[in-house]
Amino acid sequence: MKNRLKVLRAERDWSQGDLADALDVSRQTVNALETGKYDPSLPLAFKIARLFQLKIEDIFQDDI
Amino acid sequence: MHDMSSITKPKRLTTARLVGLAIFSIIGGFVGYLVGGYVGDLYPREEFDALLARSGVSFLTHLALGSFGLMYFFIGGLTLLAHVNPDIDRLSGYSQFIGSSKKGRKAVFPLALFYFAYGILMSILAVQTLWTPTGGYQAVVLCLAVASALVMLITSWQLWLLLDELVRAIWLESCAASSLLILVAVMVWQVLLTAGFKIEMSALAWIAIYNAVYLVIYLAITALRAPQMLTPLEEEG
Repeated sequence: MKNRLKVLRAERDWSQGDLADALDVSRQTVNALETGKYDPSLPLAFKIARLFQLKIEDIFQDDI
Repeated sequence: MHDMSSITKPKRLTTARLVGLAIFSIIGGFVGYLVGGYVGDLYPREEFDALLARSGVSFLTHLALGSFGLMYFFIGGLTLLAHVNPDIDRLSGYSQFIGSSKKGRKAVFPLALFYFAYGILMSILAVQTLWTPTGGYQAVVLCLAVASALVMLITSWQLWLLLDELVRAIWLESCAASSLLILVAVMVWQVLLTAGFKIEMSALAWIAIYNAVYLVIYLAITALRAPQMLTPLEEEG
């Protein structure tokens, strides 16, 4: 699954640590999400969408 | 705007810290070899082998159980040290592992306690391959083992609630994969025994193998999911 997390974070001038704190996860999790090595759970995906005030599908795109 | 290139920039392998760590490791290994050899010479090997033979455990199993015990004590100690020392924290990537949030920081003591309890249990198992406690000692060892097991169960539940989902996912996948592998291995072993093959395996040997398999799978899954967890993350700008 692809995502726009890195771009969205950069647009807001947030560091990985800032985003991790906002989502209440570790910086490792943010890094793994951004590099596409880990897909978030549905609750975390909703949390990310709420934080960026976007729909989930605007942030995460299926590979198909 | 932050410099985004600093996030993905690979860590140079020749930084003073890494070279220092490598030199320290080599010296540590050499000193450990000398001390181990000296201590080994103090105890007659024949007596040691006789003690192991009496408990039906191989030297390799004894060594593995003892090493795992020490390793868990070391990780528990490192967890506490990283909590109070920023340099150790940075080097071990500890904060990045548990998260800097209030919830993440609450995981420090359960994590350290979990590893200490794990270390105690493994050490008890390792010591029992050489010495069977009797009388008052037996009661003390039994209480210590039960208390450690309870601490492990309680702290692992706390950690499940406190650690973030990436760590939980890696933990769960490692447990599931290693349990499945060991289950298959035990079933194959049983079939071989029934077929007449004599492959002597004690419960302690299976425990040692399970720990080794878990460790390898944990590292493999971490390398796939979050390779940056195995090395300190680059500082953000």
